Amino acid sequence: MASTDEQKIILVSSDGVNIQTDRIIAERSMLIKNMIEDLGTPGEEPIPIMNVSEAVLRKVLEWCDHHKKDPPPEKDEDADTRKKTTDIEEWDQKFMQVDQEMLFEIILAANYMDIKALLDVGCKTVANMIKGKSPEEIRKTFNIQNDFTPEEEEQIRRENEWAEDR
Amino acid sequence: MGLYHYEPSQILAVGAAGVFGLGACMHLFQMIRYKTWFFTAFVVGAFMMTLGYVMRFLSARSPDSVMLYAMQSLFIILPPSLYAATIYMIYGRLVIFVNAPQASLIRPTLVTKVFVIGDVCSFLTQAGAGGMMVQPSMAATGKKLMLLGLGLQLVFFGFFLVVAITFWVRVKKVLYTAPPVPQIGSVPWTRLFCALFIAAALIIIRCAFRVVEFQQDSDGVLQSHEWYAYVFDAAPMLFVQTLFNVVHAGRVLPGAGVDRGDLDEEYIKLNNISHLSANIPLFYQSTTTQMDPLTSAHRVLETPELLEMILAFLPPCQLLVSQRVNTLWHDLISNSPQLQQLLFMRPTWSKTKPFDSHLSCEANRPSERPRNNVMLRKVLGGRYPTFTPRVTSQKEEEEYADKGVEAPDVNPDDINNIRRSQKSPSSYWTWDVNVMYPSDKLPTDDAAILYEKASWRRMYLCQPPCTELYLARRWCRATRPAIASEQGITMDMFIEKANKARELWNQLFISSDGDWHFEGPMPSKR
Repeated sequence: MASTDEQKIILVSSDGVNIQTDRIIAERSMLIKNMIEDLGTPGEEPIPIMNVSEAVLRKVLEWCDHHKKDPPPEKDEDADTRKKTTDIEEWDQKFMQVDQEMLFEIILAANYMDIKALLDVGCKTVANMIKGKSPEEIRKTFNIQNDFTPEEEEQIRRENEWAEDR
Repeated sequence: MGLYHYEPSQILAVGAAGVFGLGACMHLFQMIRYKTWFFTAFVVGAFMMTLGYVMRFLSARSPDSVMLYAMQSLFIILPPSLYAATIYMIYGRLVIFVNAPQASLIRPTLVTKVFVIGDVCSFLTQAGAGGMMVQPSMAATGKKLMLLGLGLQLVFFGFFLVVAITFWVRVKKVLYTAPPVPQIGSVPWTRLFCALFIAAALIIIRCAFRVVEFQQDSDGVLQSHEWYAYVFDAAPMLFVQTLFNVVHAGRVLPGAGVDRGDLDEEYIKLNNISHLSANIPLFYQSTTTQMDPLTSAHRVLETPELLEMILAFLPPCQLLVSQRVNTLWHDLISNSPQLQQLLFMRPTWSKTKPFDSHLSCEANRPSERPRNNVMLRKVLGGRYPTFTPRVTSQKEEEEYADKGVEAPDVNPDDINNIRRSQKSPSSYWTWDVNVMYPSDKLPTDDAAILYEKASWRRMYLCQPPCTELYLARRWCRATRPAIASEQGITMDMFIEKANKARELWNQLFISSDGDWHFEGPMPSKR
């Protein structure tokens, strides 16, 4: 039997495409890791990744491949220490240079596949897109509908006007 | 030439009446069993259809009876309108059941009204036309009216199909990020929706057939051959009727017995956002009137958990300003415990052991120094430049202590009576917050800062919040805190005190290095 490092497994994307990858890469995803443990027969059965299309799954696996050597995330990681910085390492920054649709698809996939580090990188990327923007610019960037009444919006604006860059 | 342009078949009519009758009885039984009273129109339609074919049989036996001919014609033409009405009602209920009203082009409560009204119009037009067609004098007008009625039905149904397909496409797209739709009955809702599509398509085919038929002359192909009517009208309608026997709405939707309130409870649980305040709109209940297809950006930004994760990476100022994006952002930022803590608006009490400043061991110092709220700088109008946190050491404490004399309990605001305290209590650890407060500067006159509901007023001075602040002159600390709050001291309290005490401090209380010196104890709370 091959060692865990060289084991291959097959993932099936939502659009039914089989993708072969190393077990060690795929196991960056807690969803897949748990599935493999539950199935007990790694490599034999293809693993369906129901909610992720082929293009997105390949992109996610690209990230997992680059980060396969990263230490596993600590169990009781303090939420605070994780939140402090929005710095993104260079490779991840390049990786995240995709169109908006793909960026959010990656976030959805990372959330579904339970890849905390990738989810963080995705969220940081979006946070960086929000930084320095006015509410109007944020709405425009993400095509968000303003559903406040003018009075409500004015009230919130006044309460926080002091924090605006003036 | 008789009323029929062919020899009407008695056997076919009896057969049709038989199967329609069977289906109708079945529907009546199912409606009562599942308490799906909105199926009444459908059941009536099914019985009308049965009656129609019974009439047709009678009419076929005496083909010259105008009355029987008119009756069979009317009773066969009208029921699909009733079927359609039921289909609209099922759609509206499904939209509410799936809890995705914003994915529907027309509000679900409006769907039933709009389409059923349209349906009733076409029904009445057709019924009236049917009546007129029997009278030779009005036959031509009646025919036109019948075409109008059928056309109306076709238009409404076509539009309905567009609405339904749009809904399906949108919901399909968001299904996997959304909480699962609970299955109440034995049949998943998606199957009922498919049945809806099939039924709608068949009714459209049937309507189109009737329009063409009425448009043709009496000797047209469609009117002169009986089998067309059976293939394009009887068969599709029978199929629709049977389809809803098999996939009955009562097996999908909660019947009268299931309270919607319970269902909503279930949704809240499924959404797993109970840690947030209940007034946060659920993803599906968000009031966006957006008509764009739901992109992945929307799926992410309309999921509170994911949006919260993103917002947690924003600096406090940006977070405050971003509340204005929309109601979801606002509700999330002002309710999420995590975001509120980042904003210094909700206390994060230290989980670590309280630090004893009277122990010199380095290891005993708090591992986590309190984070000062740098927003204070913004509120102080940028006039007061530095803000230095410092953890006091035992050595310093002793130095001050041995210089100190037991101070009487005096009013801390009365600067003439300030004495040095002998020692700080050892039950808590202390740190100093030095705010430079130059005496020659005036407090801010910025209206945005002075606004009485400005959000900075609700922010704590530091995190974990200090609960006591002492006035001090150089290293002499007052015996009683100038500000004390069990719940933690907010910036509002601080600024109020600072502004009040300012004049006195200008003259007397500013130490030689121009510092305004606060010291805060921090008890550990859980």
